[in-house]
Order: sequence, then structure tokens, then C-alpha cells
Amino acid sequence: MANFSVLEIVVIGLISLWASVLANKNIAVYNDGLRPIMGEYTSGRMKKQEFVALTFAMSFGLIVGFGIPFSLATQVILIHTILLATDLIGIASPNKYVAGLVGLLFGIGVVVGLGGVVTFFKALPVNIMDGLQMIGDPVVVSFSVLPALAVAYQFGAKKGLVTLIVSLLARLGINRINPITIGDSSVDISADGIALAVGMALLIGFCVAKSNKGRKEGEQQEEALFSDNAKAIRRNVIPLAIMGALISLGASLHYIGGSPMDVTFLSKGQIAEAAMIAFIKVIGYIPLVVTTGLVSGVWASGGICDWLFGLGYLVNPFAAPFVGAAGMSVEVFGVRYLARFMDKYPEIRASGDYIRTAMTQLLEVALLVGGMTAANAIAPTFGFFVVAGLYLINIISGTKIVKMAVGPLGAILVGILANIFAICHLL
Amino acid sequence: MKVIAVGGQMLKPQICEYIKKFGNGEYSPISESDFQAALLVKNGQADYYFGCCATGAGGSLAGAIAILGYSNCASISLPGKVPVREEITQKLKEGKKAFGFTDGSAENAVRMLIEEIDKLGK
Repeated sequence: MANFSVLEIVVIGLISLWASVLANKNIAVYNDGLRPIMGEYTSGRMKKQEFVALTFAMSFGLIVGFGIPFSLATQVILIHTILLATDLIGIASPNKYVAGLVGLLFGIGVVVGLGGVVTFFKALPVNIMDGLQMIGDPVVVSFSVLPALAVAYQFGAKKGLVTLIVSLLARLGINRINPITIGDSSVDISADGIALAVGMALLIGFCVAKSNKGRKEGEQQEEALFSDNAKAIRRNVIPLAIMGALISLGASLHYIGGSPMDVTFLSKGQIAEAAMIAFIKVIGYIPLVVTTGLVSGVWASGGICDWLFGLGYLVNPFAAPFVGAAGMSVEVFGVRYLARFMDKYPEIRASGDYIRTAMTQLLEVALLVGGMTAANAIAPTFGFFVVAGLYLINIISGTKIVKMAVGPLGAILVGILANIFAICHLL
Repeated sequence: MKVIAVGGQMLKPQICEYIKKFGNGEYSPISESDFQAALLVKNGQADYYFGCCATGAGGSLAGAIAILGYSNCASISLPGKVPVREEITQKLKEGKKAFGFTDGSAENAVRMLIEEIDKLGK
């Protein structure tokens, strides 16, 4: 039995096709690292060959070491797997037709290939998939600590600790009130969600207070410097809106997720939490996407990560394309306002940096623990041994693999080893 | 005393610490937004720009590429590629002023950059 549907092949195929075309036409790329360099390429100062090589260098490691392990562990495609590859396909292709065709084939290949691997894993003597499901468990419980970490970075450990305690109290408080009865139905409000919301409110409160106090005059007006590029992005609103529609559609069907956290929540059926984390990530990525977009005139094929996904998670597949297209259009026309907003509140801009740092570090810890737990569940005799060893050897060798991916990759490797040993009667 | 402007985008507090630690009191970091940090270098108020992000090129260098021009910028590590000392020496000799690296390689990158900047001065 194949574990994917025709609809999934069509939707992922279209996302991959369209993203490849957008990359080929220099309208949008996913990898934030490419965007600032696009200007060099489009102006002809950098040769195509050199740019293709650079794109490969920048994307390949993340596809293999980041996109695929999370997609396998959660059985929801982490969007990096598709959109990092479509950057390369689009940039390397001679024209939009080749780009579209190769993109389409690649998208289909990802769905069929990942499905095949999962089917294969399930057929093995030692069960891997149940173990891999455990990788995300620590993420689920620890993600609401995120705002406290960002506050600690930006405003000192003391305020960070206060935020942590207030979030914890909010969490305990909501558990006492739950379930809330409205009429005949009763609902549980997510304790994680409340803790996260309270923490974010504190973070934004600290930012606004500090920005108002320390307003600097004569700040660099980013938007004024790059108004031609902002116009170039606006000219492409229609192709970009189509991309937004496809992204939200895929997210609404839970085929794709925007971050390791999203795909973990989706795989566990916690849709509201997935959406919440997708919306919060926006603050972390507004400075990055707006800056790289304005510098280059090229937009992000996933939008400002990951609110288009978040919108998709929350609406049904019929509404999702409209919501996604509208969301992407808001981004495209809103660039200049976002740039102005960041000039006005430099502390919120700085928060973006700290949220990204905090999110990465949190995932590094949570996914190492998750990867070790999963590896131990699959192979109690050597699971911890392999993952701990790989994690540290990776660091000693200069961190060739993104740290947060070592846990999941290690768990998958342990699963494969366990089966080889079982077949050879070594276990 | 050499001044390093720390711009975009991740691990900024840690990078400032690494600069102090490996710089032995001869290097002073200034943490700023990426555009402000690049302007410091352009106006001669800082000697070099360091930036860090997940790709070593995007958030790390976007502001620097815009303000200083691509020819003055270099990524010294990428996902899957660790910093190489010979390349850093080469890029410093070419006169590059802004350097981007990945969060995973930040400590190594800052250590090598400072050691090579030191050698260049002698």
C-alpha cells in the first residue's frame, strides 16, 4: 500500500513546478542566503556557472541534512526539502519551461521517494517508524519557553527569568480553568499556547518600551534606499500570489510544514500549536526577508516564514488558496510598511535576531534529547551510544551537519543499523 | 585596537564574546543591526564586519552586501562547509571587509578570522 495520494502528488508537484519557475525568472528564491547575491547575478557581475555552484553549495547540505530527516521522521514534508531544491533547479535551468518540467518531476519524486522509504521502513523486522515519532516529543513541551529565551538575550537574564515564571504561572492557571464550558460544548484551551502568548506579549512589551525610550534620530531609511527593488517585487504580485496560494493549499492538507516544529505538531495532530508557532516565527523572519528582499528585488518563495503555512493549517483546503494568495499579496504590498515599522521600532527588529537564535538553540537541545530517546526506543542496547557519539563528533569536526538535525539523523541511522544487526542475528 | 562590527543576524551576543575572548583585549566588538554595522565599516569607524546566520550568507551578509558591495564580502562557511584557514587568508589579502559564517561554525570562524587578521597586521 502506498502511503501517499494522487492529490498529494499533484499539489507537491505544482508547488515544486511553480517555485522552480519563480527562481528561474528571478522573482523569488527560498534560500535567504541567495537573495542578497541575486543582484550580482542578475546584473551579470557574477557568471551563471558560478552562481549555480554557489546555490548548490548553500542548499544541498540543508536538503540532505535538514529537510529530508525531518520529513522522514514526521511524514510531513519539511518545505526546505522542496524549495531549496527548486532554487537550484530554477537557477540552473536555461529557461522557464525546463525549470517547470524539472521542478514538477522533482516534486513528484520527493512524494514517491519519501513514501517509498517510509513503506520500506515499516516493512523492516525492527520497527523504526514508531520510534521516530518520539523525536518530536520534547519539542512539543518545551517550545513555549521560546519568548523567555528571546527576552533573556535581549533584555538580560533577570527579565528572561521573570518571563519564564509568568509563562509558567499562565500555564498552570489555564489548566485550573480548563475545560471551559460554552453552552453545551466544552473546550480545552492549550496550556502551551497560553504560555507562548503571554511570553510573546511580555517580549513585545519590553521592545516597545525600550524603542520609545531610546529613539535615535536619523536612522538609516532602508525603504527609501531600495524603493526600486520594492517596486520590482510589487510588479510580480500575481506570480507570487499563485505561489502563496499553493503553499497555503499544501499546508491546509497537512502535506507540508514550514519548520521542524510545525511538522512535528502536524504529525501529532496538534494543528493549533503548529499554526501558533508558524505565526510567531514571522517576527523572527520579518527583518531577514524584508532586508534581503529590499536589497535584491527578489522575494521569498515561501513568503515571510511561516505565516502562509499557519493560515493554511487553520482553514479548509477550499479556502486555503484564496487565503494564501491574499496573504502573499499583503506581504508584497506591505514590504515598505514593514521596513518603516522596523525603522521605528529597532528593538523589534533586534528581537527577530534573538528569536531566531533562541529558536535554533531550543531545537538543538530538544531534538538531541528527542533523537536520543527515539534511538533508545528503537535499539535499547546502542541507541544512546550512537547518537551521542555522532553529535559530538559532528561538533569536533567543525559542525558539518546542522546541529539540530543530528538527533533525527542519528535516530534514523540507529534504526537502519538495528535492522542490519537483526538480519545478521547480531542483536 | 581593532574594531569589529557585529551585524546580522544570529548569536550576536556570543560572537561579541568570542571576539573579546580570542582578541586578547586587542579587539573590540560593536553589536548593531546589519545595516548600521555595515555603515560603521563604510565610514571607517570599524575595521571589519562579522555576521552569522543559518546559511552563512543571507542574514549574515545581506546588509553588508547592500552597503559595502558584494566584492567586499565573503562567506567563510556554509551549511556542510566548515571554515578553511587558507581561504580566510586569501580573502583578507583580497581586501574583503565583511565576513559571514554559519551558527554552527561561529566560534571556529571568529577564532580563525582574528588569528588571520593578526597575521596580516604583522
